[in-house]
Amino acid sequence: MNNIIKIAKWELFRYIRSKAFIITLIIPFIVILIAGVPQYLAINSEQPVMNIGIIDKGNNLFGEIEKQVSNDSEGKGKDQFILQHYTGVENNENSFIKELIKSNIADIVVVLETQLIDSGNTKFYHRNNIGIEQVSKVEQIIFDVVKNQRIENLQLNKDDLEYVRKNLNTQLYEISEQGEMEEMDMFVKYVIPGIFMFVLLLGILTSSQLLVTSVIEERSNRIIEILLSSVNTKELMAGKILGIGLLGIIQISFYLIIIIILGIFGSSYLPIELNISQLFSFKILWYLLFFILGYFMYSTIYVSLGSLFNNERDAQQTIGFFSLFAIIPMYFISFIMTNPESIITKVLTLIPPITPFFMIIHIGMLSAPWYYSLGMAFYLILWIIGITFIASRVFKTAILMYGKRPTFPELFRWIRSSK
Amino acid sequence: MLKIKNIVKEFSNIKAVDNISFEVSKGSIYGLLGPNGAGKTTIIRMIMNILQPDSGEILIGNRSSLEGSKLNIGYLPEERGLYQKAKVRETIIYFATLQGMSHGNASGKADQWLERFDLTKNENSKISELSRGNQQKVQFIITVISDPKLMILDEPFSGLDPVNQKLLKKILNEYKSKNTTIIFSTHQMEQVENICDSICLINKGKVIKEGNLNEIKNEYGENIVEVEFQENVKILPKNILLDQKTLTNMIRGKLPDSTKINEMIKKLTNEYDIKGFSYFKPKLEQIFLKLVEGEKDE
Repeated sequence: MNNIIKIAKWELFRYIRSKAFIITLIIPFIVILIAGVPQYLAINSEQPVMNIGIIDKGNNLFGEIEKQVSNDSEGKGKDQFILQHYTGVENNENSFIKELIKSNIADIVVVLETQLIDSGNTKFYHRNNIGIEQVSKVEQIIFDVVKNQRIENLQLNKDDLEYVRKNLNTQLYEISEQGEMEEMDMFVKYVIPGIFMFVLLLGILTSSQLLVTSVIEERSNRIIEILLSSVNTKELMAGKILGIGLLGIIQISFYLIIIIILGIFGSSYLPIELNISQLFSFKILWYLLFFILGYFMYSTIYVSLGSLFNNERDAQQTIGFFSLFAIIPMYFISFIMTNPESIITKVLTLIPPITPFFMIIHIGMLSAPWYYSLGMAFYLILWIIGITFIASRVFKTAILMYGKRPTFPELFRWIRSSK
Repeated sequence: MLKIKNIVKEFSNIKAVDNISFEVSKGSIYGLLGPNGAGKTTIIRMIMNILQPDSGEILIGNRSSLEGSKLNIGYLPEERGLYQKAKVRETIIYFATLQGMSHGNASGKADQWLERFDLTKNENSKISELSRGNQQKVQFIITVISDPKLMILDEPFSGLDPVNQKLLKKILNEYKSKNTTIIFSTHQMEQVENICDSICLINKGKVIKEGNLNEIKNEYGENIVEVEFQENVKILPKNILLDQKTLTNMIRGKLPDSTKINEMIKKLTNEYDIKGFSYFKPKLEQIFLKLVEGEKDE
């Protein structure tokens, strides 16, 4: 045990100072930044002033449209759109519109056909370098005017009008199979399990690289022989997995601390409400359990994989194949959420490399009962014991084999062999 | 100190080690010799319990080699390698603690050894920043830092300059005088002749010669003698010297197996006016080639 701790400490401190680990820590923030900057720019950038030509064929809606633009919810409509009303152009409509756009008098020309309120028929002409969002905005303004006009035609009074327009104020509650009711919190139900899944994936991808690199370095440098003169293969393998596992826990702790800090100091700047007190719920223990089990299982596989290869280049393909299992759950999130009871969901949840990810979804997004989570934790532990048994036998033999890569029959022989 | 009894190790139906036995006494330096692929590394790995023999037994002291890491054997493998990005001092301390030393003790000893090998200024350098020779010195420190009672050194002198080779030899002799048993595997016969007490010559997984180095030399060597005369002597009687070659006032030839060197000197001084006398002990390299090539011919 003492040697396992010494090896774990060595591996932990060796990698915690490495550039690769520091980069891994900041990758999620870079991803968020890359995704968030365009959104921010789209929302906050200065919109160009658009000239809108309105050709109204007898609907008398120009005044209403002007009002609607002035009352734009963002208050920017008045500055963004300059409206111009044209009438009496029916005879040469097409050439008139072309000329308006060609000579930059209008960017968009809207033709409000006769009987618009009933038919809803409009035509939009715009320069070919106008963004579709701008056209949609104008379309929405026209639609709002038509909608209001239709409500008015129904002769509803102002109060009735307000009453019709009143938005829904929805509160979601969930009732479990046991009849317990709780208010649904988007942050708790979707964001936290999503973060755990993402960090587990990131952790697995990072640790796979670190573990395989570490084992290959020791093999190719023959450090392994010096190590094995002082410790046995089981201690070496366990020490490595524990060290890299601790690295994973430090990684997830770092992200949780950042989330807590954001929740306390920066929640007003975030698009969703971070209810930090909910972070310390009982579910977090389940997430941590499945995170650690998942991390441990993948680490065990990667340590034994590293022992099979002489250099990193050869190992990459096989690492990629196993990492695929960690990526699959990401594609199935929406499927499992809409079909939690389907056979496919149940079968996929039982595939060990996928189990930890799906269990995080089951617990977080589908509120799996505790006995199901506990059963699946034991199921995963049994698999980990089996995988560790196989991996340690492969590791023990392969770690000192150089040259040719073992064949599958050889691997089976090593696993069966007790020497 | 080390008893190897009838060990056999097969890989894919090929016998890498075929019923090998030998003993190494406490406080001696024992040379394990053989051509490439003879089975030396496999034997060393079995002593280290990195591999286990298919049959036979290895005893270190009175304990089985299967106790492995508990036996505290210092091991310097032939192919050198350390964690390239780790620092010198922390690497030494890490391996020393794995060998059972406390962190404090390991730190103190690491400082002493770094000073002895003139590496104190490099203690916080990364291993990759050291020259090959200095990396080898670090690896040697790792081998000896916990003062093991048994050391296995595979090609310890390769890559070292003459100054450091001399220092290493001095250190090995110090350990020998402290009753440490050293197994020394190399291709450099000159080094074996300089420091080994006994040798075991292995070929194709079998022992082809084992025993005291001087006795083996006497047994297999062709003892060459060179005699310089005051006067011009053309030839000596065949019972004194065989295969004679005559130079000016000098004759070189082989000492007959039946003749002892003292008897020869007595005979020569009685009958001739001798100016000089040289006796060349056989080179281990010649014995090695003779035995290994002899095996090939068979």
